[in-house]
Amino acid sequence: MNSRTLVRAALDCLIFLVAVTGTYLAQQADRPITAVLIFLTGVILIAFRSGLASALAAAIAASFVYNFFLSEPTFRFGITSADEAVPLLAFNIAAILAGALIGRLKDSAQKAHTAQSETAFLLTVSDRLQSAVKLKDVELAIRGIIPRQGVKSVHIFLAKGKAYVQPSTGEVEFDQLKPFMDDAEQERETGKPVFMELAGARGTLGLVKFLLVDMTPDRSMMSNLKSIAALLALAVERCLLLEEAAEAKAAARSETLKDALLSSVSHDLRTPVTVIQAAAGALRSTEVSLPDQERQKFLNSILEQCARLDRYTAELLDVGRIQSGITEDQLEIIDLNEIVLLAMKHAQAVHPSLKLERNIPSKAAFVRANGAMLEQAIYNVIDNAQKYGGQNGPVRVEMTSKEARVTLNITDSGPGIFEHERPYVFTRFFKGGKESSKSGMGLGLFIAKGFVEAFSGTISMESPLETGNGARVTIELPLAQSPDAAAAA
Amino acid sequence: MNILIVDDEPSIIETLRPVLSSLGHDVIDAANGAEALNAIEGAALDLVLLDLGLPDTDGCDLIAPVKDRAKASLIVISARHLEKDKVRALDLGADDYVDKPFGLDELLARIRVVERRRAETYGAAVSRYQSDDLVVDFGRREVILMDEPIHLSPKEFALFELLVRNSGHVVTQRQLMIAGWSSPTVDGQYLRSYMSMLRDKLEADPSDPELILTEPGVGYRLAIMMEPQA
Repeated sequence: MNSRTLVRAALDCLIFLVAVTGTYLAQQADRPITAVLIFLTGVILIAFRSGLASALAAAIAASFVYNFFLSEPTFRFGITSADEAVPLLAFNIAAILAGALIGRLKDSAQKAHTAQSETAFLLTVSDRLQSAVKLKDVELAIRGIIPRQGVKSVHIFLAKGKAYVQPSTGEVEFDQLKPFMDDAEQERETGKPVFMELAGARGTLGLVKFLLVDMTPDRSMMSNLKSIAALLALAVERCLLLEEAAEAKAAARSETLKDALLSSVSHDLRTPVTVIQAAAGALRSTEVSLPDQERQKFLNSILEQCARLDRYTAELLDVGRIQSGITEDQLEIIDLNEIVLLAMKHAQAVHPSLKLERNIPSKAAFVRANGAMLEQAIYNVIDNAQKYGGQNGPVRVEMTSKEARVTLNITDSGPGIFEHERPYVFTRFFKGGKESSKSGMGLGLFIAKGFVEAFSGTISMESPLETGNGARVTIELPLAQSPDAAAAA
Repeated sequence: MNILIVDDEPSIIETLRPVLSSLGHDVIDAANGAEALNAIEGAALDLVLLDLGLPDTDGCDLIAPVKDRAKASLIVISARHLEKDKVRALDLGADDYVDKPFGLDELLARIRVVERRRAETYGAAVSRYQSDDLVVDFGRREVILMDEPIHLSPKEFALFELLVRNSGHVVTQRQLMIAGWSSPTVDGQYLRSYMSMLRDKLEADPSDPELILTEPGVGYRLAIMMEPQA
């Protein structure tokens, strides 16, 4: 069959010839017992090396040769006396028995060895597949072990509806016959394809295709392949279940998040509507009689809450703008100085009691941004500083330019922010402290961050400061050429 | 009445306080759970208007102290609008709920129901309720609608009794299931079919009920106020 078996057979013949020669020489030297023992040793050696079949062949050949060449009368079969018949018979029986016994021992040892190595191989397969948690890894793992033991290659085809997917490439094959046809790749590696079903607890998972070196696999090979297919099916099924679990978890998480956001938005939007509806109801009611002063307060309160609703609507619109992406054509080169002053004026108008300190160089600092959005971002930061620290002292606005960047610091002297809250200050719907009522929708700093980052800038918060309290928001933007310089260039 | 408003939104308190004061109530307020607990300990209260979304506590945690310690009535005011939140609050002992934003008339109507309930004599078991068109006598197991006696099966009567004893207030499905089947886990379909039988017997137009109103996802409400008679 192959070269190894040929070499083995040749060696056995050689041993046989050596034994015959040795026996002949011993016989010539009139040492019949030695001759018989040498011959027996040859048969036993062959049995030991090559198993039962070779041992029996050697024993029969030996008894023939012994009878023909070595026992009297030589060069013919036959027995002349009972004295000769006894050693011949004894030799034949001894040769055949020894050959058979040792050959069988050898065979079962060989079988045990093969079985052990197969078990070890399946264990390796199982181990490798156990560690795979993604479908892709399953195919990679099996391809790391095979080619081996007469198998050239392995391909996995997972059933997906009516199509097949190859997990390693993610290629979807709608032609259901495709796995069974030889494609260009397989033309190069010819061999016998063997298909097996990957059977899972919930039905067929797909197919596995083994390409074998030999044209006809024997029974032990087939049972090996079956075991591998079963291990593959287990691994594939486990990966599918893991994927499903992960998907379900992600869906549940995004659902929880959505619920939280919706509940937050609905709470924030309903509160002003509640006040407006209750106040308007009280003003219209014949049952409730309010003094004029109180009626005036209700009207003011309605106007205030309308402004609040308007602000929330604008914030939600800003979030929408950030989410849909700010494009280059919305940007222009503007002077950050002017924008900061506008934002400060805006904040002062909304919070008349707010004390604002500024330290801004008079030299223009050009940045590439959208003016309205940048003003909103800076206003939001000042508004936030006022909300959380404006009562404790002034809010400082400082600006410095260094090399190609301009830095804007907005500092308050409030109590600062809890350490555990710091990572979340720029996230959506985050409200500092426990006083949810005073902090609006929790979108201000999220919007500021979204806008500043759209202008290639950064925004960060530091708190508490060197003084032990307060918070400082730092906005950094890349400086742009002034519009005149850009035009001249 | 002494009314405690628990809401973290100052503008809502500022609006409700003058309205309720002008109707002759004494109003105190609390902006969070801790303040609310203080108020419950400190003052004699008749009614608590409770916003479920408080910054420091789950509003539902305040229901037991309000009912047990202050012996006050409780109306939940919620912006969350999730049926399961309302049902939970009602099953924990809240008397009624109002969604934010609410019409002032609606809130005042609910407050009036509480006021009348509290004016009823406690202790002496009321066995007869009466309204303009309806008389219900629990002792004699009699229901008389516009002078016509109406025959109710024992289960129908048990369900109707609970609605009558809470007339004006919402009654949750769970409370009705316990009254009718002694188990909160019976199939909701049973409850719905018994309620529809009650409507067939009591409503002028069962397809457009005016007496037994459905509160979707929560329960049922008897829309008229029944006067207890000793």
